Amino acid sequence: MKRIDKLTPKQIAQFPAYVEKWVKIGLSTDRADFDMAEKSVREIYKLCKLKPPKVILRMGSPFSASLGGFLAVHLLNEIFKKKSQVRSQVRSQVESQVESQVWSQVWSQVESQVESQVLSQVESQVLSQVESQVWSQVWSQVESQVRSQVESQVRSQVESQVRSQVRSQVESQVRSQVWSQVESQVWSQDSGVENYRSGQFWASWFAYISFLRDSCLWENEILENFKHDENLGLSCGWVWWHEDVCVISDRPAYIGRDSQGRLHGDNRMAIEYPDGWGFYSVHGVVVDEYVVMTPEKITVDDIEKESNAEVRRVKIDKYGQDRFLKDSNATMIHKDEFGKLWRKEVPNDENIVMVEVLNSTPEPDGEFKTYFIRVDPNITTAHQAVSWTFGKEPKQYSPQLQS
Amino acid sequence: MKQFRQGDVLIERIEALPGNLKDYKRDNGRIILAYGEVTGHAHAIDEETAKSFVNEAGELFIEVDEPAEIVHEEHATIPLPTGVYRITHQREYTPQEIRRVAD
Repeated sequence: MKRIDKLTPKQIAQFPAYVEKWVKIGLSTDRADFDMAEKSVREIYKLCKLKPPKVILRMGSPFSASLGGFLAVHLLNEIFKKKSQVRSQVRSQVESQVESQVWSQVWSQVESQVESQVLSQVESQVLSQVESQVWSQVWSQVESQVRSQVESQVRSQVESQVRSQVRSQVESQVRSQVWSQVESQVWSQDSGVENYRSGQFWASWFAYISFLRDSCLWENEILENFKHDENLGLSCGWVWWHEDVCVISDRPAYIGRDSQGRLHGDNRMAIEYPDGWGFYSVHGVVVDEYVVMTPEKITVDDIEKESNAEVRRVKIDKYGQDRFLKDSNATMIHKDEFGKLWRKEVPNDENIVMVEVLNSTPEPDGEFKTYFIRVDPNITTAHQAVSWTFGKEPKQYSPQLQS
Repeated sequence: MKQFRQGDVLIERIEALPGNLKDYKRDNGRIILAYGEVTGHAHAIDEETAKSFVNEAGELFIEVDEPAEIVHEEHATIPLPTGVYRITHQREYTPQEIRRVAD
């Protein structure tokens, strides 16, 4: 097998194209190709020398995938222990959309096995080893082959120019948030919520290896294993692995991002999946629905009780910084002919210091509108504050004419 | 020191134009000093004789050989005597990072 010692200028010139391709895949909002994903899932179980899964669920979001996988494992346990009489019992407990989706898929896939008395024991704990076996077969082995056959300087070049570029846009901004929301919303600690791996959000890994394969023409048997993993990245959003049960999640239907690539949604969820699951985020800060959809419900009390400094800042912005100053009994710390300087102390965060100035041109009704500009918290006089807003020292700022 | 302010734009007279300037393009025949973010209103100079330049940092400079005016939909007009001016936009403080206090 050929070792890769050096990148050619032509290969280096291909970096941006790989980044672009895989960021697009990582942030794709196309519907999943479940058939293709299922085929890859079956191949991966095979190459890990595992029994084929009894049930492969197709779910609408990573949330229902994790929850559904957990439920399916327990349903299978019940079914094979007590046979079909449990069906009605379980069904009576089944109320939510997730549960009924899981139930109908699990039942239709195992019904014949139950009827024909194929009673295998499903005794596995939810925290099964499947995900780690998948990890070792299709991930760490590929990685160790890369280490042995690709010179470290080449690796670090591709790492920094391809892998981490994709990662900063897909994993750091989107996957990490989706993951933490799934984790916090799936109720049970032992639900195996963390048994997930692969799908579009692993884009940086696929970018890295596929660059070595397709651009550097790296050859290795292990790439056969990688191919199945890559196909999951190309076909679906998320995969939850377990003995007997594998769950494939669809891709998001919508991903909203701000100019810095952070999850962001004005008047809507920042990320939303086809089954309706998703969450609200303002410039990368995950917040409750009301903060985005009904910000008029934010109160001074709510802001002051908020313990997370980032969420508090979002709430203050939505409430209006100037309104917050007024309504929260901020202190006027200075006043001169340039305006009034206000300060509000915020726990565990920088103080909010704003200068209140009068508009120089009157409104049609003759009133002068006041407005507030946030300034450096170290500023102590109104003149200094207004000068600062134009990048000046007080002695450099004294307009003869203002309107 | 000669300074004028129209809303969030500071117009400051300077001795001479600095070096390394490029022409700053007019928009529909007007020199736009600043666009309103949501209103579509603008701080603008309409006189054809006024010249506008921009440096690498994006700072605007105006050269007025014949008296001109800065107009805006919501602010009174500012008359601009002949001379060379630097335009500065008002900025607002945004905290870059949140420093947490250790427990």
